Amino acid sequence: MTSATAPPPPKPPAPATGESAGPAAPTPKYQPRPRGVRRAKDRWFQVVCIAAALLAIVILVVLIAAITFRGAPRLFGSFGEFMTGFHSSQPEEAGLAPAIVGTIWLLIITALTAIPLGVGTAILLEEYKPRNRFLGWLHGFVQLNITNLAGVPSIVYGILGLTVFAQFIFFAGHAGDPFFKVGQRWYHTYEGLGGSFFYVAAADEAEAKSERPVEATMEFLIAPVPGAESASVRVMSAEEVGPIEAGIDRNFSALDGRINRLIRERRENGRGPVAITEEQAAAMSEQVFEGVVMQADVGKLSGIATAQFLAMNGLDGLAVTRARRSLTGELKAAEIAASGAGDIVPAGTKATPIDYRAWYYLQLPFGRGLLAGGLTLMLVVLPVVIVASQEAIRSVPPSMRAGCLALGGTKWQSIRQVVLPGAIPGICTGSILAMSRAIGEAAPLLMLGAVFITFVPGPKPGFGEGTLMDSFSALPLQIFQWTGMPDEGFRDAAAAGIIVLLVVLLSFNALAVLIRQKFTQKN
Amino acid sequence: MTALPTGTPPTPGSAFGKPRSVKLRDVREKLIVALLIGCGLFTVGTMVMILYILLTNAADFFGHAIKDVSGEEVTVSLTEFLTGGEWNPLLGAEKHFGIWPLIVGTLQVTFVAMAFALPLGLVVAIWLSEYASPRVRAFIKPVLEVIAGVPTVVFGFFALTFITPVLRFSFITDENGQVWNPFDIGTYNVLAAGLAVGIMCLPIVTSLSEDALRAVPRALREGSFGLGASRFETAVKVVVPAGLSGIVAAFLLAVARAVGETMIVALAAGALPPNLAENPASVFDVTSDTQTMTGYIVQIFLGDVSHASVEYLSVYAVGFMLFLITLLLTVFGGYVRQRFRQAYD
Repeated sequence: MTSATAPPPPKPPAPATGESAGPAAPTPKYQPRPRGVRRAKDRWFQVVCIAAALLAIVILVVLIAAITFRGAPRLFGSFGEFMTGFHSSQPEEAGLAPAIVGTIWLLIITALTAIPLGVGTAILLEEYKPRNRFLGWLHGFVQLNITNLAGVPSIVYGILGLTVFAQFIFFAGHAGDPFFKVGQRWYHTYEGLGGSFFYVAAADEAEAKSERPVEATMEFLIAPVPGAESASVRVMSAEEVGPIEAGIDRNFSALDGRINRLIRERRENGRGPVAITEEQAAAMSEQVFEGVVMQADVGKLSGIATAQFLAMNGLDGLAVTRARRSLTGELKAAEIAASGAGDIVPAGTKATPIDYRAWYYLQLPFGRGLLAGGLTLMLVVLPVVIVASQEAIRSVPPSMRAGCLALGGTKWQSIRQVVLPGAIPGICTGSILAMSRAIGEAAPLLMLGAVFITFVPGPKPGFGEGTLMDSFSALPLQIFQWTGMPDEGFRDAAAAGIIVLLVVLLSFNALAVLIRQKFTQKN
Repeated sequence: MTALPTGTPPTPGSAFGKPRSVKLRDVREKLIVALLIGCGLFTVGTMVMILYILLTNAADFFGHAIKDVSGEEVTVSLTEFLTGGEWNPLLGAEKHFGIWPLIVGTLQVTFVAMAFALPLGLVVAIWLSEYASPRVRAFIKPVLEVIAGVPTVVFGFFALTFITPVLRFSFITDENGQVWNPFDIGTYNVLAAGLAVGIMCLPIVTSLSEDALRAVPRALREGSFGLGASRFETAVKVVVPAGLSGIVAAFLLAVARAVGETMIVALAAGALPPNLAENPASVFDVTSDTQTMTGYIVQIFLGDVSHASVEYLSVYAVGFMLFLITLLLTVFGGYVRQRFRQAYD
């Protein structure tokens, strides 16, 4: 078209082949370039191209190889321990369990919030395009806004999540002192003579913290949970408790001395690290109880002692003292229980507060926990879900909507019965890819997660306590923290964690591909 | 097909079911529209909240005395923040809050990343769209997709435990038999972090540029071939100029990603922004450590810094700068793509 309206400028009368240009002919304005050079350039460029593409492949291979060589021995050397263990100061013992469980919970929260919100927004943007000029402008603004949200660095979402979800800056409460709580109960805790605890339900937090002294008429429970069995407790005055305690103490000061001497014999020069073999542990626990009259079953006590002695193997310095004290304490508790004094609470014992949180415990603001983390990740992946869902909805042919409307269906009926079923594969694929992005995100969780946690976060109805407000760790977070530690052992653990993370991501991507293939074959 | 009953209208409860209430249906339709609008407004609300939180807290940071972590009162003026060449909130007797060192630190990493990703990504994009056979494409594209799917913390690990040791590898043997490395590269350095960010950006540059190049109609290429141009000449002189707006947009988006990248720089770039006031030449120092805006935010949030301290509030000011820069890049990238796109249809 352009050539028709604007004729090309007149070409200089140069012959087609440059070499035949004689000295008499005028020099052509455009010198044709030598063919060989042009060919060489083409070829060289192709070489550069292939080299560049190969470089990309090499980088990926090197990346995977570097991580595998570092992480595989650590991962497969003790696979079970690594997957079920907790963070430890010993890199060889550190495990991934809290990170894996934390990632699963985050994923559930993120999926449950991001997918409905994202699909809803996509339906609004694709199916309800307004004709009104102002609304049309608003529609365009929302669309532009989503593009811009996709470009916001994830750490900015982290700042947002920390400020809004974790602290609720708009309200008076803050994370340490929530203004709204549900699913929490308070109990008084009283310590019995043998180190066992008894609990009494308290009406509220203030009462639980009032240090109420123990009374014989209280209804004692064996655990601070609703529906716990009641415990029979004898409240005794100091005069009554004194002789009982003194009798047991006398017996145990002798036992403690004996234990101490035995352990010192097993230490290098009496103060170095302890070395105890299994037979030695058994022999030691026999020696401890030799000639002592105990009310508890000596066989059971020596079982406890043997196990504790074995656990002391390799300990040094303060750790030995601590282990010895805990052994004596345990034996004493067993003896008190056997002597029938375990249910005695000395009169005047003051209560310490303890709270029970049901699995549905909710507080506002959420604090730095699973819920705040999951919602922050939701913000990060929401634009991805929206854009993918929009594309999926757009791919449903308009004639199908028209068919539904022509049969008398309403707008929502056409969306519900025609558009969404057609768009589901695309929405699924997009959502899975968005979730795999959420799994790998660490930056927004840095300020919301806790890394070195030694429990499994999240509610486990029927299996134990835990709530969505629990502090959490996540796979990428744990990897980040281990990588940042100077000990090379932790970097090996980080590499092992990366392998786990990449396998999870790969399976997510494979699932997305499978869904796409399954549905494209059908249609 | 059974014949429809003629004459008598279907009675309620017959095979046709009870006709539904029109009023109920209309209410439901309206409710659903309201719900969907709520979803749409949520995304707008997110943007408003980001702006509100960053702006109010950043405004709180300037102009009045705030206690720092050691209990001393510090006053930061907006002028100092926007023009200062020194940033040392966590060390030094006298605290300086000039944003430029962090911006320069960010630019250092971004520059190294782009010096790696842009040429490489563009060349791969040209090759994929102009030279490669479908079979080769089917192999290279998944490779790029896998790279794009790797979490950034993994690239951070790679930068710290592989790229840095490789850069620090001693390969020169001097006359004393000592093996050494001629470049004085630190444990944390701009180069390794920048390269890792570049690897991360490579798939973005490649796929967006390739989309732009493939959108150029075949007629242009065929015209060029018809005039006797080689494939190289066609690619460089016809296809690339025609797809330039898309390529520029791809570059801008890649730069925005590099600026906002957090985990790689937090792990591999160190925590010491260049001191522009004392040593302006450190701008060009890519072998020692630096700190980016994102790196600073991570450092403060990971440390136990009191929520009311000047260091904590400075995060919001830095976060706002970061947000502003990436937003401008994203918006400008989108604008370039829209404005300079040549419609061939």
